[in-house]
Amino acid sequence: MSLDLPSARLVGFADTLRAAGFAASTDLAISFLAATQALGPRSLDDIRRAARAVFGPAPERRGEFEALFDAHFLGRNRVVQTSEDTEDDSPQEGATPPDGAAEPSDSPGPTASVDRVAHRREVAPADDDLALRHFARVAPRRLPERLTRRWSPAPNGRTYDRQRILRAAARRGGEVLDLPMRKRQRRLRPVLLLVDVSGSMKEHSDSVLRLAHTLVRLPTRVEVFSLGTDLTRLTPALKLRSEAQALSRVGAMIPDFDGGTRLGETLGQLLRTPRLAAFARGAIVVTVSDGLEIGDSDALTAAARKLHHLAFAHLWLTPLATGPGFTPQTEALTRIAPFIDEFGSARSIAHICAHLLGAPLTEEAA
Amino acid sequence: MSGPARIKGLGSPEDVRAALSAAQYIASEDLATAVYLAMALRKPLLLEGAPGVGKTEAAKALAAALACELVRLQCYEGIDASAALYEWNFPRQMLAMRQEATGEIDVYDEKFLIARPLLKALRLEAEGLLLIDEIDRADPEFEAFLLEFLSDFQITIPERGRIRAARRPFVVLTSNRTRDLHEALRRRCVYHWIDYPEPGLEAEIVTTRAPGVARDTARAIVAAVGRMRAEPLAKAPGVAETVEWAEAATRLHDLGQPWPEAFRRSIGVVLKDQDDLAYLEPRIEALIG
Repeated sequence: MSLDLPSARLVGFADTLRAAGFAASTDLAISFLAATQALGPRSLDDIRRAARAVFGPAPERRGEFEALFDAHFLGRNRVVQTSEDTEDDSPQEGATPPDGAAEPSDSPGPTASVDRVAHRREVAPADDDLALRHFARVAPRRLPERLTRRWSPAPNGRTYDRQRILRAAARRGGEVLDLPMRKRQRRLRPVLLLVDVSGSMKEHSDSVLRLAHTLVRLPTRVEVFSLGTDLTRLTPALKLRSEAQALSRVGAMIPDFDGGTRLGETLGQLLRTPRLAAFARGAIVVTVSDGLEIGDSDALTAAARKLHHLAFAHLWLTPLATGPGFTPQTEALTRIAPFIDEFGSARSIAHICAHLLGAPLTEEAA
Repeated sequence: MSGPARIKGLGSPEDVRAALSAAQYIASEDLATAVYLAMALRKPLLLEGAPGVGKTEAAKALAAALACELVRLQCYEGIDASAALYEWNFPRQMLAMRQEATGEIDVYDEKFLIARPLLKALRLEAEGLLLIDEIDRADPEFEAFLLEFLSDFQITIPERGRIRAARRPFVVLTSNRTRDLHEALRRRCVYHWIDYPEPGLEAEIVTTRAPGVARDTARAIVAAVGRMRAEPLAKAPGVAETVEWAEAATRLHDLGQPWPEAFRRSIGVVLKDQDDLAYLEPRIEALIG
């Protein structure tokens, strides 16, 4: 005895998923139909399992997926969806951030970010844009690279390319006529940007987020997180092409803008997730924070020590830095100083870019 | 389209589950459904989950349950087509050419071809199971190559011609999710996320895999491991570690040690990171329970 569900209902679920930002292409919808047919289906559970198997939601989006399934097949409305077509500069009220951030209350969070965006747009100086454009152009050449395990033919390499030598020789009856060389390919290291969004960093977090928007466009893997009272992954929102839309989406995603910060706990939480800790391995970690509100100092030291083992380099940029020879004075930063590769200034976008590129800042921009 | 198909005598997810448990692997309903769908839709099966949760074991048990040959390709960073598909035995070719100075030899004969796992899978006579293990360790270039392979199941060796699979093997990919796989590869597969098993299920796995362990011991061990997994550890214990800890503690107990001692002494079987051991040291008694 099988459930009698019209195919239109099943295909409609694929449309719902697509509107919510899941990858639900037409061939997956066809597979979903075939899968439910193959199972009978004998009950709604079968349809649910078929949906999970075919559409394959990532584990952190599983809750959203189940909610959409319930809403579509059982009529339970637990999620308020805003469709992607009505995208404009205003932030989305009641949109569910897909990364486990707290539920958006009717507090002035999103509205505040509109004001901040407008405020920033009036005040942003022209050399910020220049610095960002320069950075976007120069960074792919200047950021640190690592050797990969892939070889490619290269006349200036120092290792013999045995396979090509022998392959050519086999074609010529065993005669080795020339010796092609190979060398290892290089790849840019991944970048992990951690932004402190506490109250004390209020004036700077906007410019850092602008820089983050440029960073995710680099030809390497980049992840951006905000550290406040909670950890929020900002990378998907920053990948929007328009900077204003990306920033307003980010503003809606962060529930704890201008709150306190628990740097130690949130950093520890990041390192406890295996996937994110694996991302930090061999990466350039940039933390932009003044180090004033840190939560538990022991947790921060433990996290900094672990990050020191994992990452290629950990740069700590603070807007309180006075000059090139800055050493930290606060107790918390002094404790983690042995685990930080470089302290630097985050006073403006130009300063941060200079530190990332490893170039000294010219005096007039300082 | 007609009703559910019978593939190799497995007509429903329940049949799959029964076959897997006959092969000593206790699968959840979701996993059995995903396997059944992958076979029915003739798509590869992608198993993702934390390390140690039983992905490779599931594939091996499936091969035993389907009574087909298992071909395994272990991925690593930098794996390329020659390591996965085939390679010519160059030294042997050169020697053969030098020895046969006068006559003609076919340098591209079968005896000079080293068949790597993917080519072996193509050449199986009966339907086999191709296990591509830890695909997330390979780089995106290899994923693109794999995508091409999985769509056609045929390859062209320039010197020999086209080789097509007589019977397409059933493909299982596993991933530890250290990075996100490419969307195109995920779309092509039937997906299943394997979580750590429920305590009851895990205790059953322990008693199945380690027959010498008493039921109460298994339950106590599973409870302790569950508490450990809730802690922020660098290397959370997997299912294999649970089974081994049960076995080790039982052995020590049989040698005459009381239970708390036996558990404590064999802690190195389940926690394998020095930082984790140091972190849990003050609370180890409460954790073991």
